[in-house]
Amino acid sequence: MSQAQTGSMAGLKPQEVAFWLGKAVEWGQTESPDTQRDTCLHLGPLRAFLQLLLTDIHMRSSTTETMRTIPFVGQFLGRLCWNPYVTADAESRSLLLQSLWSLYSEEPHNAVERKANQWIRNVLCQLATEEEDSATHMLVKHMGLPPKEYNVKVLRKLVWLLVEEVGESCSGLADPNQRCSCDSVLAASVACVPLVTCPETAPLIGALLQRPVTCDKAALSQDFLDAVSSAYSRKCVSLEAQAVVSLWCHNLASLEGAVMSLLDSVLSNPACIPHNLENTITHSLLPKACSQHGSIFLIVNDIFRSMLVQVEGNQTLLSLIHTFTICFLRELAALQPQECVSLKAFFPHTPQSLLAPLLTHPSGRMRVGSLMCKSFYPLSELMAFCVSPINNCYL
Amino acid sequence: MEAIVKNVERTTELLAVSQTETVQRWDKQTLDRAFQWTQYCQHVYTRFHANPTVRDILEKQLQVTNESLRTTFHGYTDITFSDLSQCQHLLLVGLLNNAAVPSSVVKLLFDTITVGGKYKDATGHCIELIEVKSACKVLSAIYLKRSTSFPGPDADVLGMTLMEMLDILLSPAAGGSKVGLAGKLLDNLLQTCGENENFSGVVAAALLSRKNNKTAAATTKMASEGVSFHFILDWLQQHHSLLHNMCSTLPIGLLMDLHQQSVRFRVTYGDMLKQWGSQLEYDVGEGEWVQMDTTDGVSFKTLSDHYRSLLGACPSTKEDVERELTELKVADGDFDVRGLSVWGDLLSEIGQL
Repeated sequence: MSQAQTGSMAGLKPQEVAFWLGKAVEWGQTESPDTQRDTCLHLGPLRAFLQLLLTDIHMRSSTTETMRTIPFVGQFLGRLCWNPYVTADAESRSLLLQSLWSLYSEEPHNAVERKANQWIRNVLCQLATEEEDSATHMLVKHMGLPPKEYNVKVLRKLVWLLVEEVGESCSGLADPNQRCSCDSVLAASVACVPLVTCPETAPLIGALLQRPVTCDKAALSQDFLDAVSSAYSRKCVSLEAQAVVSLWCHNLASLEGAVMSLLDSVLSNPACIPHNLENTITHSLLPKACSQHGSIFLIVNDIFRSMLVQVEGNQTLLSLIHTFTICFLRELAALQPQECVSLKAFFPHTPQSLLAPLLTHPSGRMRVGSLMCKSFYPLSELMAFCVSPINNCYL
Repeated sequence: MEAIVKNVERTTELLAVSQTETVQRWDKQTLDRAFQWTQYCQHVYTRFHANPTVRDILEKQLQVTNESLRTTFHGYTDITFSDLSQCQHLLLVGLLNNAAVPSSVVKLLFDTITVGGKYKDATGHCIELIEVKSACKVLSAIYLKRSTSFPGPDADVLGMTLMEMLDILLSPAAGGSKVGLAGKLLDNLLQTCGENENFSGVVAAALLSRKNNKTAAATTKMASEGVSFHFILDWLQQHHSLLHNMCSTLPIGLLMDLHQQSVRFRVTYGDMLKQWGSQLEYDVGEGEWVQMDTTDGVSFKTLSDHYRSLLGACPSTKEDVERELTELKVADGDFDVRGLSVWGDLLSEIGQL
């Protein structure tokens, strides 16, 4: 085997290549719900493969060499370009385009390269300007609507319609024989995997996350949750606060990621002034989430506690926890009465009868402090809010 | 005004140039400027499309420009006033089809932008397009599984746009002379679609859009809310085949929505049904009512489906329908034997359920 050929096998294994070529063909052939689901579920691995492919192309000295060593590349990329699930996904789209441009020769030396250039330009032109339904396109034109504006409006309308559909509550509990619409929610969440970073679809992502889980079938796809979580941690998606809280309820890993990210940003910047610290903590949405869900509070509590053990005596960490508690208590006080969670949710191991006196008795200060974290604890705020009349729902 | 005319002329020239080899010298700045100019022309269209005077001036100027550009540029396509609304798209198509455009410029259009500089400059313009179009396809696939997905989002968007345009043309502030333009608009659209069913969906969506936007319409153009709606119904009366198309192809549920919304539509719809009924003939051999003229009618079954839905619409409608059918049956001789009066048979058909 020549040097070039062994080189090509280094990154791209033949079975992998065959697998993905087959997938690309399969996905292009039918538009059934099954193929759609299959595409969405394979997006992650596909991205990895596309990255490998791109690296391989970059290793080649010219397009001619690429076409010789990985002849399938044109067909493969071409098929994927016409797959809306692949082109809707920001990362795959970017990798696809980078690969295409890598095959483009600024100074074509032969017919192969010239042809490749022409093909690439054609594909790009079609992708950007081709309108599928020519009849509709004529109507759009005669109504004086720019095609881009039309497409954006249709997308917004689709999002709106789907948000309505997702918002329909499930009546499954009443009559087990009656089909509820919840399985369509699962299908919608799978289909949204490529769309998590698209700004126009953010309302739909939020609606899916916040849909109350009232029946078994209303589960959201794990791939969807992972995709949202990953996009959120990279700040590639804008979700409203409640949607983020819902995300954390659904996905423990994303909650942990958020806490670690907060800790990282604060601990790596010790000179942070208190006002900024408070802003950072509030922006993280963690205090809000903690106030609404005892379970989230406990997890955050655990993480803080283990950090304290690891970096004992770290002043920055102590002030973080101090400020966090203040923010948390503020969020707790701001909750509407019907959203109040009993204090027992926050302190499950402490008998209810002990909790009240512990919180009010001076000597209880240090003990309750140890309940929340093993450190100096600003109970004055906690006590002040606990004894105030409006918040008696907690006791 | 002069400035606008000049600018439109320059942009038309720009469009022509963008398809030639001169683009070899284009760079980011040129591209951004070109995009801004096309955006400007699109604004001009929006601002003046309902203003016949200005529109006239611009159209005349464009004719002159077209003539001169035709002689200079081989294979030149004329730009009309209505093309101005698609200016940016035309520029894009021209550039992407032009092999002389430097790859650096094309790369800009397909640059994956991280921060939205939307509509401001050309960078990433094509990426946004691809993202939106792909997202539409993905979401359509999940949405269209539902049977109640009519009118689809595309018909809906077009319908709303149509209503907005009619509102502008027919609003009292614009004066009565626009009625002609409004009629022309609808005629043009019908002509564009030809036999295509698309347009009846769009018209239905336009009529229904008032229902969904009641709060919006209430605060804005109150006078024209009813005006555009009625205008469309008037126009439909004169375009019988489209009306027939609408009533026979649209889901009955949609027609019921319109029925509930408008007294005027009830009359139109009722007349349509009666006409269909009168086109049915009884085939003694088959023992069935059949269509005399298959091009412009519906089957007995379809007709009874329509009447049945009307019965279910609301109590007062039920009474009205029954009364009407009875009157027609009486006019036919009031026989209870099957096959003598389509109205009598309809009554007994729908009465059974």
